[in-house]
Amino acid sequence: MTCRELTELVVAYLDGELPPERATECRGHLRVCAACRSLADQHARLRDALVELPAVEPPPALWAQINARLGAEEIAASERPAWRRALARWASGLRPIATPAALALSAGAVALGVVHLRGSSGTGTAALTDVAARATPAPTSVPVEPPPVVVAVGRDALDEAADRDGAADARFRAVTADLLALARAEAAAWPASRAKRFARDVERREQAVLAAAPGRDRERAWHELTSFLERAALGEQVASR
Amino acid sequence: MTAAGAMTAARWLAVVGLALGALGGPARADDGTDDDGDGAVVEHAQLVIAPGARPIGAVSVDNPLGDVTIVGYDGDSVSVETVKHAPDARTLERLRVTVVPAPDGAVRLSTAVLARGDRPPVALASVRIDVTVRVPHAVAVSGRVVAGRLAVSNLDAGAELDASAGPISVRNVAGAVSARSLAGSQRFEEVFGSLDSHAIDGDLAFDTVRGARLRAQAYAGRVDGRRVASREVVITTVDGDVALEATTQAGGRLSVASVRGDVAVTLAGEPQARVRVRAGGTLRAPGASPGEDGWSELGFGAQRQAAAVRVSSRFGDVSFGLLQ
Repeated sequence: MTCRELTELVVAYLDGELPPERATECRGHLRVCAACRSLADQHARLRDALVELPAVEPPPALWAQINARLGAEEIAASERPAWRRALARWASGLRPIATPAALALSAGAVALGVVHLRGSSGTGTAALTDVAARATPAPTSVPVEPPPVVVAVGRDALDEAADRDGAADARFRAVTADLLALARAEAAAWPASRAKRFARDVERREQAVLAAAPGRDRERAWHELTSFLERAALGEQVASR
Repeated sequence: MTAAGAMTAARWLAVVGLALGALGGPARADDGTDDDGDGAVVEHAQLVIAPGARPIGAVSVDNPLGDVTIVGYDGDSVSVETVKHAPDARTLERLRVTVVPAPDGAVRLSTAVLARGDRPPVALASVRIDVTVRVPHAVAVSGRVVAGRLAVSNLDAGAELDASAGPISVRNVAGAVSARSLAGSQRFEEVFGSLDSHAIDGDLAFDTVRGARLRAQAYAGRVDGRRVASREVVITTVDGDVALEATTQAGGRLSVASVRGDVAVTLAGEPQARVRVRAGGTLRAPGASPGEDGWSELGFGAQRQAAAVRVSSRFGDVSFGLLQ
């Protein structure tokens, strides 16, 4: 696999949407290519940031307003003279039926719906570094009020299995954030060189999590990271030589 | 692969192929009757893998769809028994068990749900594969479950075990054992060898553990230990409580520490130990008198070969005593 191919596939890879053999190729390339790893990391951070956006409930009056506007347009259309209705039918063959405003709303609906669904599946690799930074509250306002979240129907066992992996990742991430805070508090009292080695050791283990395939390998990498941080949090001198 | 290796592999695959050919097809539960009224289908299958040119040395079982039971026995072949549950025959076809015997004597078994294709979606809770494997005593095993139960027993060459939400139980096992779980509990009885156990939210329980080392770590789970006599014992938790009854070894080390949990340690026998204890909360240790650094030092028995014992909780209570 080339870097160019990976660039085209990285989002689908992180979302767990690639066939297994293609995903394996991506994973293999990411193991050996630091530049693409960095790219994947950036995408994963962006995705995580989107996932962590709070769910925004639409105001109850929104759909009433939209319905009222649509109704008014339909009534106005029905009351137009016959020649204007004929002209409108002819013109509809040249342009989308929806008004630009309605089109924009639809696009927003699709985009936000997809983000929510992906957030619930959470199958991809997540960025680990600087967990504390990600704990910063996400913005609570969005420029366009979204429609209700689309509820997925017909979810399959494979989707649920992916959900399970995602939930496990989420729990490990939360634990890692707590342990990092405890371990860093310990490390603050260490000599600078040892604290630096500790930071490097943590980073190496985080990279191992990112590189691991979902399932057993990923969970083992998480255990390796959290076990290491627990030992540090309990005051053990864990930094490598 | 060499020609000899290829021949060996072919022989192995032939054995598996023959055994697979003998497997029964899907059968209705209770001889065709629906036991719970939902038309569920159950398939039982058995497979025996005989050793090739080399004895079977390692067995790995990865079953994200149900329970795994691995039992050691006095024999040289590996027998696999699977029980598949599905809501209907079409869904049953999606449940696959793959057994791959390698020429080097390793056997790998894994299960999976195939992609649905044009079939209707199925809920994960409605399908299940339980796997029971009998292996020679001396085989090194590794097992993984997700939400199912993982149980291993009667083994002499250790085990490497992983679970997400399912419980792990280990009984009568010698050799190095390592176990990891996210939310599943872990229970170890009669383990004779180094033991490494790590859980995030699961509880850890140890009964009759001996060996060079016991390292047990739980983030939020509780740790209970009885009759622990490993030479080096290190137990840590972040939020979970610890209750340990242990016997120290001459020149050994026992360290129990928690960040926020309560810790209770009792030494059995007639210990020869130098003990240091410290509590962020209440300290209960006869004769303990905390120094300026918060640590109390106690001595028991002759100190020449004394074990080093250290018991602490940063924010929780600590109690330490001798078993009377």
